Amino acid sequence: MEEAEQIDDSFVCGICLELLHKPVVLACGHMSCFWCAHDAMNLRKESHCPICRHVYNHFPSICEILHVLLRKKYPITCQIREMQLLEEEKKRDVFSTQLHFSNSRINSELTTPAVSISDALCITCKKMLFQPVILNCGHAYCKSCLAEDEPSCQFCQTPHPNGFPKVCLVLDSFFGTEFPQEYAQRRQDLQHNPVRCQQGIASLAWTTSANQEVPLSNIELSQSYSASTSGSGPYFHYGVGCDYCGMYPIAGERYRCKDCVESIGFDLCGTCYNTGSNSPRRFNQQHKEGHSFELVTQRR
Amino acid sequence: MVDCARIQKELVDCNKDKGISGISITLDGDEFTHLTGTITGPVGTPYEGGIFKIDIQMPGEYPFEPPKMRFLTKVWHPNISSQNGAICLDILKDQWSPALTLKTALLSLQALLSAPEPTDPQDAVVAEQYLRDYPTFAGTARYWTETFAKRSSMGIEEKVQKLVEMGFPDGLVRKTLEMVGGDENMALEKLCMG
Repeated sequence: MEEAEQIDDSFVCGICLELLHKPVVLACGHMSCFWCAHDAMNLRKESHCPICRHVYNHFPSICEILHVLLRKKYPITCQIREMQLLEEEKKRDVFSTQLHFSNSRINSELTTPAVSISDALCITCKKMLFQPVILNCGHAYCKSCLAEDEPSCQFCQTPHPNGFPKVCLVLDSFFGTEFPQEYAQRRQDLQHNPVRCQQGIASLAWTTSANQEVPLSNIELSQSYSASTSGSGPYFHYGVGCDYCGMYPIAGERYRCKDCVESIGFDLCGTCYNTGSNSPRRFNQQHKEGHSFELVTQRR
Repeated sequence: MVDCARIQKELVDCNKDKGISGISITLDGDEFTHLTGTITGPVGTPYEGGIFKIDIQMPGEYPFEPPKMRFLTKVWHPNISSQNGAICLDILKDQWSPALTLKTALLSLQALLSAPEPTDPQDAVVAEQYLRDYPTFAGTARYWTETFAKRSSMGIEEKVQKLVEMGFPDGLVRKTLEMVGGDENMALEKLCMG
């Protein structure tokens, strides 16, 4: 390339070895491209983080904050990657989530070329992210701004599966070096006034409405998958994921949309079908509210 | 479809510091489906001083599937077949992760040479000898390193001459020797089979 940008190693995807594109962040805090993460997941049972082997079973949504940061930091490489991706997706006939930047804050910030603090705000405290954690829905919070027991997203109301996520260290150190003064200030503030925010109440409201699914720990996760192969436990739908919460493969009840025409289809797990979540479509399906579903039972 | 861009990057990255790591990778032909890796035997082991060639086949799904690796150079090691070079190593099977690379896999092979796992063997004969009579094992491993993994022990021209004297054509001898990584005995075997 004529004008190759020097990409920081920490923003190189560990799978394709290119600049992260449409990045997703796993609960262990490790990042990869949307499609790299997708292709690295296990179709039949629990998946392991390619970097640290942390067990998980929910495909995360794209982390918009990180996406915007990368676009501003490496505009040329991002554009090249964007074009490559579009070609690949046309070949696959499946498309990744199109980011509309529904969050107007991010949208306006895209017009200013430099990375600024307003690109790095926590949804709860509206301050610069300090020790950022990325939930499965892709939204970012300070570690101290999330309810400890059962974190769920204030912005999109999506519950975060399988316990508390780890701090995304790459983002944390990026903010620390990019905005050293503000970072030091945030650290000081939190030391003097350790806030556990009020979000606990919000997440409690969610659990009472949909407490059918208890979050699984790592060991429980692996056990439940091995139980299914031995015939006990829930049935797993090979290679089919929930388009709302990202559970992949879907365990137990699976609802398939009869009206979506995309080749990848549109499916929900039992919990999401019953609670009617509103996360963005993962593969850009044109799913509408009036569409009807059918229950797919296990095939023997 | 093999991810050529990634393999290309890996090759550049690996060969950048081959002087330090003792690990290099070369392409076999123009295709990115077949490569050859080279590792040096770890210091303080019976493999010290040896140069080991590894055949690498890239599956179409790489890096989501592990590369298929096999020793081309004959090795006496509990986890490597003394017959065909097949390797017993978890990261080349179910413990593979797409964040691993050819270089990290070859590094693991180097580590495997340093730390054999005789309880999970690939070659039962070698493993049994390792557990029962370690000095004999170490002696055999060292002898194999001397015989098969050291090119300096006999110059390539000497080997060519020896095989030509046996009645094989010069061009074919050179090609065959190159194919088997300079191993005279393997070349002879191949030449005899036609």
